[in-house]
Amino acid sequence: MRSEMVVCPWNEFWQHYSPWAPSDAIVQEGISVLENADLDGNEWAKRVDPSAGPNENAGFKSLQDIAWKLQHMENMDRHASYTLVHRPNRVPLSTISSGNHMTDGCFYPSDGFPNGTTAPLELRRTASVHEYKTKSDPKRTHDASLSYLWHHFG
Amino acid sequence: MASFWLTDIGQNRLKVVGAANYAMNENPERMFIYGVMIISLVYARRLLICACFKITIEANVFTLWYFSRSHSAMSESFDWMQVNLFCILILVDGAEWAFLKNPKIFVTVLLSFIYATPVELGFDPNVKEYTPTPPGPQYFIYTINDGEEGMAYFKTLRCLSEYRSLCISGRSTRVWKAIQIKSLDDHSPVNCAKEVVLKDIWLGQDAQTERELQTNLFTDIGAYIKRTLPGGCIPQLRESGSVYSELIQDLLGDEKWKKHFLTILFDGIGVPCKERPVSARPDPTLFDEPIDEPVAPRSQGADHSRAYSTSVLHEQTSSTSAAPAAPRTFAPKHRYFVVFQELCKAVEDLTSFSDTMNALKHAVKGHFSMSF
Repeated sequence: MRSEMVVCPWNEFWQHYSPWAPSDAIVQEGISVLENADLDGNEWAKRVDPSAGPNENAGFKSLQDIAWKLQHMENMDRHASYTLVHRPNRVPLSTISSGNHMTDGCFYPSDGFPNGTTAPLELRRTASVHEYKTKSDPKRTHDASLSYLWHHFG
Repeated sequence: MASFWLTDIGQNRLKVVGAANYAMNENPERMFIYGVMIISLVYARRLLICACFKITIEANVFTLWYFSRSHSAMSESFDWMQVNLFCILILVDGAEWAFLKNPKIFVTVLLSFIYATPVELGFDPNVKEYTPTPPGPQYFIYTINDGEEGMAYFKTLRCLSEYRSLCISGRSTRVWKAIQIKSLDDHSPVNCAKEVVLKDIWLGQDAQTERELQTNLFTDIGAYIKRTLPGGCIPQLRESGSVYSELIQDLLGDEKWKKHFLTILFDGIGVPCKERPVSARPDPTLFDEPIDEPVAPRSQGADHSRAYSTSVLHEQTSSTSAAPAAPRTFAPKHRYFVVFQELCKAVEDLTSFSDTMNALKHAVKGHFSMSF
């Protein structure tokens, strides 16, 4: 894997790879939004006990607050497609192995954002091809190709 | 303390890469994926795996990542004091003081991701996932822009073969059983639709497509037959005996040999990966700990060499060797879709001996045609 990675200076990386580059005016407006925002101060930092080991969950809340303020900016000619959502796990992700793909927050598509603070959040938008293959046809006894015929038989 | 953080950064980088590979393998809609490392305070370490892109908050590092099938790139990590102060001071001392430190880049990055379109975040406009209502099996719709045939839409019915690579770069071949449908809005099959095979693969931009390969092959075979068959003497068959010679000559006549090749109905080229910037360079120290042993692919009998790039395999299996890994060219790739008329099955999935022998027989005949 390391041989397929390259490292790039920041400016060139952003010019080359960024999804899109907001204009200076838009960025300045974003800064103004945050300047006038009623954010949570440093309360999150007070809740962190450094002696308790990794605990990044507390720090994430502030990022969510900032992102939520930015996604409601006016005078944007774009739609805010994604919402930064915090759904913490009980176990900090920095303490688990890299093979575990647990999620405890994401940029979720705004259009499909579940209503309610306790609504389950399906972080993965799509089932895996692997699951699609095995779960839909575990013993290869059911062929999904016939499913389009089912509705004819009610 | 410093070594702890350095080690931890390497581990978290591996987590980001592993999660990106997982997301790319899981979702056929993916062309590329972003990762973001955002700086924070010493107690704010976090790996955040996202559906759309990833954020990692570590101590004193802010890094952006881009993962694609041709290469992956990481922005140089640097001291993001302005971001650090922004994050800290906006929360501790209030916004006015913090913004004197110019949080421009931080806001730029957040705005760029929040207001990005799905395509800009790496979702392929030619592949869409659908979950039918009432809930039923999930499927994908492939849009293939065939220059001659126009736009064609295919609904996946079942995954026939997939290759879950251990590297993000590579061909990432997926083969689906699919059926042609009327449009993106009307998913009912077109008239007289038959099940087909749809192959989804990443090819180097300089590589020939399957249609080009097959067209060139057919042209060469046709020219050879036209040149040699009328004389009744094919040099390669002189010592084969009369029965075998007649069998082969019968195969070569009337284009019967073509039936041993798959029939390409549609093909189309998708969106290309971004090319590598000129100033980008490999960094062998990116991950602290070497990967000891390659892990075998899941499928029994699969080609192990394709689980790795050549240089990665070399790097991982010859760690004691002094020879350096071969330099990569990071050639850009594009996605390629091809639809075959014949409904195929992976040889490894065949359960009947006669089917296996039939497949081998046809493969030998096809190969024989190519060998002239």
